[in-house]
Amino acid sequence: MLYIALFLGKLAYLFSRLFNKGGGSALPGLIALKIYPNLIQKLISQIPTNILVTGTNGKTTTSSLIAHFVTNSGHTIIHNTTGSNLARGVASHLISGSSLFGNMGKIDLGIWEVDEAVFPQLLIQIRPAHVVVLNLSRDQLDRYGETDSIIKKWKSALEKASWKPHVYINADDGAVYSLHSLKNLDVETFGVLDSTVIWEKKSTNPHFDIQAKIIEQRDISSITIVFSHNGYGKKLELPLFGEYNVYNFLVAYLVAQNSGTSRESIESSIASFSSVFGRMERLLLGKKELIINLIKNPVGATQVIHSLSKFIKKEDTVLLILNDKLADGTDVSWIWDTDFEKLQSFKGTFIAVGTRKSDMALRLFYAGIAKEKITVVDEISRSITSFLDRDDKGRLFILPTYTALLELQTYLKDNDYKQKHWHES
Amino acid sequence: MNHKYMNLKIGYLYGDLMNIYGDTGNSIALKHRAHARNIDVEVKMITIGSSYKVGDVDMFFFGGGQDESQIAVSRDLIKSKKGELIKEEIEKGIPLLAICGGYQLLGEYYQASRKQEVGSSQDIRLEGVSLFPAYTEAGDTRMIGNIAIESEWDKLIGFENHSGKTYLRPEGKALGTVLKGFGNNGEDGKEGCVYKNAIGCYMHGSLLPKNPQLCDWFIEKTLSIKYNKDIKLEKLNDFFEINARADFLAKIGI
Repeated sequence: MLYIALFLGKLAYLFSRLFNKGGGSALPGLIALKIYPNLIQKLISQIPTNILVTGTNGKTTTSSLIAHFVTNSGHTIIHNTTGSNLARGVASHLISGSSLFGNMGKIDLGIWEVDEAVFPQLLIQIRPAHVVVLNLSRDQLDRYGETDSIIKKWKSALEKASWKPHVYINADDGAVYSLHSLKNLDVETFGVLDSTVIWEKKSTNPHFDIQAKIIEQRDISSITIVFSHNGYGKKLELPLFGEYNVYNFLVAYLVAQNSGTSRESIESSIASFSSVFGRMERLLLGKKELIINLIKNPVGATQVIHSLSKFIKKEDTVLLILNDKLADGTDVSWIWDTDFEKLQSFKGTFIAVGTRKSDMALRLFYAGIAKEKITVVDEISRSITSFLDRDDKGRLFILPTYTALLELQTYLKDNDYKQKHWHES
Repeated sequence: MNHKYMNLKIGYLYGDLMNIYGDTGNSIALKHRAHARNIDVEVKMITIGSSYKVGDVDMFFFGGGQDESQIAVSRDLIKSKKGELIKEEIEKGIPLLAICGGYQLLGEYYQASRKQEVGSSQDIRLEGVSLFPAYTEAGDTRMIGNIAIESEWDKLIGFENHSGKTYLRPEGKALGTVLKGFGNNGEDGKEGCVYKNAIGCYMHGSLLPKNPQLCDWFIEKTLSIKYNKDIKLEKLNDFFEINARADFLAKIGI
């Protein structure tokens, strides 16, 4: 049965590639799991070390940082990408990485970004040696339910993990930090001193195994920190934006080190890390710069807005794209829990687009932003072309929800903008 | 009319525990629309451990919360006697808006199913304040989605997300009739409950920003009672509100 599942899975993969249906990130896994439900365990158990990353925000950046560090030190990895962090996505990646006979070849590290709702189920199937728990806040309550019930499920899943994984927890996030009292767990904690990051629940008196202090966010792609770990300390410049990403770096550092990458290797390779798709992604179109950052839930969006507010200049434009499709969450109430008030003092203009653009515009207006500064536009394409036509130095900060980010990506590719992917030197 | 020296004090009931699904947007809307008329607004948090006495605030707002918060709040409402005091105020005509969990706790009770077990097994029934002549029973399916109702305040729109089914007693007056969505229980086509100037319902969204006519009614009622005279607010240019309403109604086909 495994061979049939693999064969059909691979066939589905080829077809979806051929007809460009979603790049083959879900369908092969979906089909193969129907035929052979143990597919994930069967294939993944051949990989010597697996790493699982979960949490509400920062999964993609953290797993990409780990992947970057370990590949630089010579590991051969398999790593699922964003948008495929459910069981079928993990299965699809395994299918594409395996031979027709179910052989995973030379892969020695699996890095798996896992959706918070399916974490208990995938924890058992993946049996990772390392489990990263980043944070927990409300996200798409229409799909996931409430955070109290999620943390309960996480606790009971971790308690049942008989192989004793090494668990990394964010000590500043109160909900996540409550996991450190679980018995039989091998825990390491990470945190930022005098952190200004907003969590849904903040911890009191947390203990940090690795910690950082923020020195300065110089511009949107460089933050300087001093970190210390087991008596070792170092000042480092990270090509990252926002204090919340320092947490992602710290835990990626720990995991990479515990997976056999040296401090020197991590510290020298961080400079060449480039931003992930839709996470402070910078594009240069002619002389005009676009900066794209996904927003999807109130805590994450508030963190982004707080960090950005210092860097937006009056000649810049902020484009908010609010969709309410299934993958975004059909409930847009979360925009009222997001601190858009922080953008009050911003002198530039706002554009609202998306299936719920008029809700977005109303939110901005009630955040105290003058009505003249808010424009509602029907199409993403029009908001971008009119920006490109303007002859000034202003940048366009695009904050899209998940499906809006995918639409934006398609638009930029179709118009050949995406080839000019720009990395800051 | 000049409302310059007027102010409005909102009592945000258990705002630290009961604030999910963007319910804070309701106090944002009240503030925004009051400020537009030069009316000062103060929000006072009334929660576990804080004191409250009759006359402290001019209106109440009560949002939805997670299960555990709801248990703690239910206990506090009864133990600290806040529930009784709130009821006393509502009898006098003080306005109140309660959404979802807040609405349930102001009814007679919330009956959890034995399987579901709210908290420990002893906590199968959460006592309410009996302000609204209504009671709630746990259901097996969540009622999730956009909702629109026809009411005295024109069409009201929002987003509902609840598994509790609320039933009104025969004397209970519904807030409106469901045009789209589930409403109180997904069975009788009614949504919410109105008692004097208190409104309870399942509409998140947030409710008041997209229903400015209801928001203004709350401000007018609150001030009229506070200053003991008939207060009429001047109209605002509701460009964004009207658009958001029109787009929403078009989206759900009404």
